[in-house]
Amino acid sequence: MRREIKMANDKGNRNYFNHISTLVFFILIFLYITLSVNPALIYQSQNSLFYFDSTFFKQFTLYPGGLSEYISSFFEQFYIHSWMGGLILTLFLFLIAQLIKRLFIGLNEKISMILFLPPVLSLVYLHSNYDYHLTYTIVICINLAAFSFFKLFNRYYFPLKLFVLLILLPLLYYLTATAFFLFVLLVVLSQFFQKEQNWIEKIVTILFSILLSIAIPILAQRSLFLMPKGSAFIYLLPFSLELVNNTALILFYVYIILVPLYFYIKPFFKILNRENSDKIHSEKKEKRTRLYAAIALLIMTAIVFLNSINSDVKFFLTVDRLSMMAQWDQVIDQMKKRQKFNNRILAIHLNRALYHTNQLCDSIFSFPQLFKEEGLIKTGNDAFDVPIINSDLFFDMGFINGAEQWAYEALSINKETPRILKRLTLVHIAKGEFKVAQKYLELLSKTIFYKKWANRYSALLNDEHTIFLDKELAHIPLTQPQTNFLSRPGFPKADLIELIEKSQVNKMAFEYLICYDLLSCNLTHFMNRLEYMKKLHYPEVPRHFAEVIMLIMTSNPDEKYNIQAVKFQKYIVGRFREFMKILGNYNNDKNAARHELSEKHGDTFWFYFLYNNPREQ
Amino acid sequence: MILKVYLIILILLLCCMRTTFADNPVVKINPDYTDVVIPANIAPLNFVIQEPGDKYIVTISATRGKSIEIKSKNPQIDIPFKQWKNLLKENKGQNLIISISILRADQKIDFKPINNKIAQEEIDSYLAYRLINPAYLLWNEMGIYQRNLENFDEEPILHNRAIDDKCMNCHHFHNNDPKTMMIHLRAGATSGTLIVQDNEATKVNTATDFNKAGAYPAWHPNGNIIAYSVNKLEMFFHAQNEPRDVLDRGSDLILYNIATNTVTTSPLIATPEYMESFPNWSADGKYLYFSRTQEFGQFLDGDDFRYQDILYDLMRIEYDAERNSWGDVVTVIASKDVGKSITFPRISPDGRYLLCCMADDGHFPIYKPSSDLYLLDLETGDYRALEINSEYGDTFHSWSSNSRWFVFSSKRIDGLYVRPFFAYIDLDGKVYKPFVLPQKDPEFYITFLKSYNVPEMIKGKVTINSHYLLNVAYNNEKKLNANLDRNIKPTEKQDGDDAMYQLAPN
Repeated sequence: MRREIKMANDKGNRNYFNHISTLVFFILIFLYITLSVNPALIYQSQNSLFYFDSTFFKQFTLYPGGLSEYISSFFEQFYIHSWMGGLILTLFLFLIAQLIKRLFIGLNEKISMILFLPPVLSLVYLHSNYDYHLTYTIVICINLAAFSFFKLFNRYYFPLKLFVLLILLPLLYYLTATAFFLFVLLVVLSQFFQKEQNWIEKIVTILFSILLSIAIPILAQRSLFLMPKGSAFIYLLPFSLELVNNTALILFYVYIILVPLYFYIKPFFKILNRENSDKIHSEKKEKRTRLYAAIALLIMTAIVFLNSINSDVKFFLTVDRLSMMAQWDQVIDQMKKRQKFNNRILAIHLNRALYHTNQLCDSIFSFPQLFKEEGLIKTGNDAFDVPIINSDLFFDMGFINGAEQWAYEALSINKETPRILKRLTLVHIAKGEFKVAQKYLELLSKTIFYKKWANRYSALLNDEHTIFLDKELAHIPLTQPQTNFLSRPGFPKADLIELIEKSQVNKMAFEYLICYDLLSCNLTHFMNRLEYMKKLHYPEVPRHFAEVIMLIMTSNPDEKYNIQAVKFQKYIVGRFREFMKILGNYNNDKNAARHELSEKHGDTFWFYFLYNNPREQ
Repeated sequence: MILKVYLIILILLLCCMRTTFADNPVVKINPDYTDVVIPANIAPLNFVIQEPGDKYIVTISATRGKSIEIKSKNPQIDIPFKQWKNLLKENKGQNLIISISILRADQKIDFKPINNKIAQEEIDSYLAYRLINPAYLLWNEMGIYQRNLENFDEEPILHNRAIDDKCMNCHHFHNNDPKTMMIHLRAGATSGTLIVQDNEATKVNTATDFNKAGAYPAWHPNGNIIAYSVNKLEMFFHAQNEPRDVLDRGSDLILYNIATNTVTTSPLIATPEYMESFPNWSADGKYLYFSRTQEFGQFLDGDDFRYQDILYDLMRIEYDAERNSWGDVVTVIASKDVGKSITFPRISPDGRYLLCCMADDGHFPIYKPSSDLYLLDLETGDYRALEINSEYGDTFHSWSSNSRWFVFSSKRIDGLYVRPFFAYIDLDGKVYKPFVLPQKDPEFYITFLKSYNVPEMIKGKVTINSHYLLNVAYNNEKKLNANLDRNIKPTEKQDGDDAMYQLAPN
């Protein structure tokens, strides 16, 4: 009796331990995803748009797997808030864990979490990749759930089982595309290792499943859906993902597929099957197993948590997000943390942030400008990887048609996303094309998180006089070109010159043009361009301008420059003398002087010019 | 006596009613289906009443048949399909009155009835078009669709999802016949021109040693020849207004003979001194109409590109299809006379009218807000801008097989997205207010982010199987390479397709 009570207590303790461990595990997962992965950055990368609209829905019904993508889009919109994204992902992972757990039901009622939690860790690893879509987890959920459903018919009349397969397989293919092979594999393996069934029924069920799973995609491609050739067998098939690391996914699948083997290789798992073992002996073993399981899980969790995030991608998305939200000081702070970066888009973000904080012409050389003038702007075919960033930049500059073009290129590349629709709205408002703007506002007003923004601008459209009081649009009247010119994609300098000439005042275009010249070490027109400064009322000459003037005057002492209007701080003269002195100390050997010059004057144009000017080189 | 008194009272009452209607407010509905002429076989013109109200009452009536009454708490009016069909069928040539009342705070407001007209002549029952995003340099998803104009069914004829997202365009039908058509597929394994005759498809490479693959097509009425323009299109951008513009660096016209699989041309329509484009045959096939301007170099002054000076004339040339012989090139409308660039001539199947676009300059009216439709009476030589033109671009058009309807592409709804509008033209050449392609959801166009490109009316459904078309497209072993007419001298090696647009990178 006492022993039974003890056993009951032990059983209770085991359950309690399992529940608590599982709870702690998923709390850790939630915290990791929310705080470390940061779903807001996944959102920044994927920028999913979802709204309830029949046309929007219809496009997802036209191809296999579309409905899973629709469901995914719905959930992904919540990633905009990290905690919501963390919660959604954790709940999906919990659901997967429960569904995997169900695969074991029938084998053993008391299942150690070591069996069903590792696949969850694989998925955590995958979701730490900012390009990985929730769709891939949803299709797994659907197929696992379908398999659980199918198992209910295992002991029913054999033809009924075939009938269920006949209904389920096409449905699963339509819902989850080729991810339905997971279901097929589970069915095949479970049938193969099932003991109760006779062999003929087993073979018929297996052959039926396999043949149907081959026939359905062929039929779908040849007669039902317009799909790319060959995609009928790969779309949404996780192994076809173009992800950097597929290992976690392969492990996940292998793991799930191996589970039914348990039916057959039961003795191998005996350690986990407590009821069949000698009870006293198994109690000790069980405790040990639980301990090992907990340690193993802990180690696996630690490995996943420490290795799954690509810090470069995370950093890029963080800066991109801050830039999108116009948090310029934070962009600069982030970039200061990473002095060495080999990413042109980050350079573009940084220089844009410097402009918006009035530091571009004072501090651009305080940061490594590895991309030279290409770190300012992209306008040719090379800009197709950052069309929306280009659009943002042109919008800042008042070049509305440039912003329009690149926003529509972004629409072609990324389809509708909230960020693109917002940009298009502002572009068309700025152009006075309110009907088109209203169109995008209608779409955004159907979303959950952009409704307020859309309503604000819809109200603005009703009062045309206050439109340009809006802070996003206030700069447009002065900076936009007053007359037409032909833009030259791939030749940003030409566009900058036209913008300066054809707008009332365009400080950004001016500073970008000057910086374009400085970064390309082309000082030919610098002094002439300074005339434009008068329009801009700088409180004092920007530091880099002064540095260039010093350089030009020293290089051409006989030339007469009209620099009466240009007065700059005396310390610049002192620094220049010191710069030249250091160089002189090394007999003008710039390579020898590099270290000292870099330490003392690495933030000056002189330093940049000395080591980047092609003629100097 | 009493009867007379009643009669007077009745007349007075009627007068009052008339006065009441005249004073009634005008209702706003979207889409604008007011004062339009519609075909009897058109799908229900569902609309939204743009007036606040608690309840909406709509009565649709005509001289004959049972009126349709719709009561709704929703301003979206979904017209019962069968009742609509019956009413229109019974009232060809009659007026169609839409009376709208609303209840607002227990007060009934009657609006001035909308007076539309049902034409005697029906419209071709299908419309084929390409759906594409507003393309700048890139495209992504696109498809050629057909829509049953008698209901709301829409289905793809081909979708570029099935051909690795490659471009497809220039769909064209012979005499509005859905069984005889062509589609141009650009780049990739499926590249080529699909020519369908009586639902049998062949893939042809129309490029030869003389020409690149054909672009703008025009099917000869005899069904055996397709005229193509061969263009070198390139996009350029403006800093104000519509950013997009297209230039043609060089173009010629060629004829492709389907039976002999041969490309031929004439120095008269393929000359280096001029750029010829937008071919279209007269209804009897005796004349080839086209647009023509000077060669591209004429518009360059060093780095200065005088795009404003590119003006196309409307030309025609006599052609004998049996002898393959050409007459003289004649100017039909000179651009200098109208101060506009004349493009996209399309002749009505009865041969009476030529509809074309005229814009301030250039080659590509779809990007020109100044583009308007002009109607040339081929009997009298008179031409005029249509009264139905809008402040936005009104462009690409095609005729119904009975010549009483035409469809055109217009940006009039929002200034950017192209929508197909249908207009009725009577025997005297009077054109009536057009209406937009009706949709089941009347607010469809508000959020739909694709443009309707190259709308072509056809007499029935394209029944050729899409998957069969795809098989033909992918089967390069059976692809026909067009032969060049032995009398035509080859030019320098041609580089294949134009790439004015590019596929968006993934």
